[in-house]
Amino acid sequence: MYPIALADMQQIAPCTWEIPRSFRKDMRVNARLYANREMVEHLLAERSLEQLVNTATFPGVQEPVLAMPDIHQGYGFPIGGVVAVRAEDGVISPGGVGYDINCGVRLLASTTTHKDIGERLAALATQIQRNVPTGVGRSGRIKLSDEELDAVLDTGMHWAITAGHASESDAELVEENGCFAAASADAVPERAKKRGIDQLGTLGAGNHFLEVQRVESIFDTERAKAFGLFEGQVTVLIHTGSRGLGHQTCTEYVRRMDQVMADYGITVPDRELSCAPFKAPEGQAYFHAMAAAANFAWCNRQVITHAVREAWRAVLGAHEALALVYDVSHNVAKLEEHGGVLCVVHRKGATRAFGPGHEELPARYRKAGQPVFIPGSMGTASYVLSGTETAMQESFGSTCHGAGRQLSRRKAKETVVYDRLCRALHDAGIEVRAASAKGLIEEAPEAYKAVDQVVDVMAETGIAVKVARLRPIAIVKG
Amino acid sequence: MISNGYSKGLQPHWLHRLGREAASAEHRGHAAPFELLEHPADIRLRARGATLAEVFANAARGMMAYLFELVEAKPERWERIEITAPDREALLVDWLSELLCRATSNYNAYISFQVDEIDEHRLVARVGIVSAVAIDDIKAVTHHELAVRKCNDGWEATVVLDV
Repeated sequence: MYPIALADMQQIAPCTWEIPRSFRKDMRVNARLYANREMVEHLLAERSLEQLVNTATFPGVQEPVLAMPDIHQGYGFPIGGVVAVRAEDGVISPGGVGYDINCGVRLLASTTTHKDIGERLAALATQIQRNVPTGVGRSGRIKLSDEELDAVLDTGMHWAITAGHASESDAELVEENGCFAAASADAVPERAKKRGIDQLGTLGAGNHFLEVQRVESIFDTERAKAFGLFEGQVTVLIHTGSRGLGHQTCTEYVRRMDQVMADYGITVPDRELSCAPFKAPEGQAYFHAMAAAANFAWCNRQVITHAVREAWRAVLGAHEALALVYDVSHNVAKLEEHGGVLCVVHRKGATRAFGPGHEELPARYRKAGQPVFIPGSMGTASYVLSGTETAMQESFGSTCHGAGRQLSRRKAKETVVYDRLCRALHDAGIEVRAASAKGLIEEAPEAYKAVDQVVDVMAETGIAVKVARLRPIAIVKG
Repeated sequence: MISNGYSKGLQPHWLHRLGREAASAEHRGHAAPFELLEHPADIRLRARGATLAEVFANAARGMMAYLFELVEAKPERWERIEITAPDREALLVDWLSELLCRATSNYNAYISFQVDEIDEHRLVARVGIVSAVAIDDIKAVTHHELAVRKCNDGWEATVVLDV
C-alpha cells in the first residue's frame, strides 16, 4: 500500500533526500525531499511521497520536483510541494495550486512592545475579533457590486488603494505588487464570483487565523533591521486566502482540464492532477482565472489589515501604526525564469523565497533577500526567514510554508481535550478569541509537526536564513 | 430531519457527528448510509445505497451533515438539479460540487434528495431546501481516490472533501 521505502531513497546531504527517476518508469525527473531522518521515517507511513512522485510525471516538468520539510498528504499533489514546468511546452495544473488559491500570510509590524500594551491586550483581541468577520458563513462588511468585484479581480491592490483600504506603500510590499498582470475577471467562472462576492475581508475557518505576537528572538540582526523587526516588538500575522471564490474557480477548472487532457495526449496517475498545456486555451484561461483569484486573496488580506489597523488605533491610540512587512503566497503558480528557462512554478503549501538581489523584490529588501513567514501551530512559535541564493539555485526560489499537519482532524478531535487546551493557552499568556470549539481543537499544537524542526531543516540546507522567532500573545480564529 | 437514521442531540455539532460515526460502526448487516472517515488532512466521505440513485442521495446527505447542524425541518422549497458529466465518478463530483456551491452561495441547507433519473452520464434530481448558515466549511469536492462501484449488496461511493 505504501510503495516507497527508505531503501528507495538516497540521502545526498544531511537533510536532503532523493527518490531517483529510476524508481518509477513514468517519472521524468528526480523527486527531492528536504527533511531530517525522523521526518522521513514518519513520511514513509503516509502517502505524501507517492504523491510527490506522481508530480514528476508531468510533461515539461523541470528537474527536480521538490518536497519541503512540512510536506503532508494532500489530494493529488502533496501539501508542501514545488513543481516547476517548462512554460514553452509544459502543463499547468489547477490541483498544483489547490482550491484555496493564493492562501498566504502577511506580517504587520507595530511600533510598540508587548510590555507597552500590557493589560490592554484583552481589549485589543476583542476589538480585532469584532472588526474582522471570522468563521464559517460570515459575510464581510463590504458589499461589492458585480463591477466592483471585477475591479478587485482585474486590479488587485489597485482596487484596495482606490477604495481606501490600502496605501501605495502597502502594495509595494506584496508579491507582484498585489496585482497579477495575467489576471482577467472574465476567466473567473460566474459561480465562483457568486460564491465569493460577499466574502471579501473575511478570515474564514479551518486553519486560517489572525495572531498578535511578540518578537521573542532575533537570529539575524541585519536582516531583522531591514524587515523593521526588533526584540519585544508586537506584530500581527494574518493567514487566509481567496475564500469561496478561489475554491469554486479551482473546482471548475479541474473539471475542464479533466475533460480535455486526453485531447492533448496527457495521462496522469491521479485524476486530481488534471492539467492542460500552459499555452493551450484551457491552460491560459486557468492562469488568467487563478491570477484573478490571487488578486481577490490579496485584497482579502488587505481589507482585514485595514480592519485590524482600525482596531489597533481604537484600543491603543490614534498615533499607533501597523506597517506591512510583506505578504507571501502559499498556493499559487507563477511564471518565473530559473536557469534560463521560463517556468510555471506551482507552489502548493510552499513559499516563494527569492534570494538577495532579485529584481522582483522591493528595493528595501533587495540586500537581505525576500522576507518569508512560517506560521507555527496555534500557541507555538512562528518564524521570519529570508530567501537565499541557494534557494534560487536548488529549489526554484522556494521554501516551506508552515508546520505541516501530522494528526488528522478526526484524530485531533479524539485526542485533544478542549478544557486542557484552553487552560494551556491561558497559562501561556495567550488571549484566545475563537468562533468555535471545534476550530480550536482541530488546530491544536499536537496536530502539527514541530515548526522549529521544519525551519531548522531549511536553515541546515541553506534554502532559508532564520531571522526572528515570534510568540503568540493573542489568537483570533474561526 | 435528514433521514439518516441517527439520533440527534444538543451537543456541539462535531461531538454529535462523532457520535454518528461511532453509530455507523455498529450498523453491522445494515450498512450506514454514509460515513465520514479519516484522511490525513481532509475528510473522506463514504456512502452506500441499494441503487445508484440512493448512493448519490446518501453522499449528498453525508456532505450536508458535515456542513450543517441537523435539526427537525421540512423543506421550505424545492429545486431541480440536472447534471451531465463524462462518467459516473465525475457525475458524483459534479453533483456534490453543485450542491456545495448552491449551499454556500445562497445560505441554504439541502435536506431532501429525490434522484429521479440517473445513468452513467446524467442525473436529474429534486432537492428540498431550508435557509441555513453552514457551521462547517468544505472548500471543494476532489477527484482524489474517487470511486463509485457496485458491491455485493448495492453501490458504494468514496470521495475526498477538501476542508
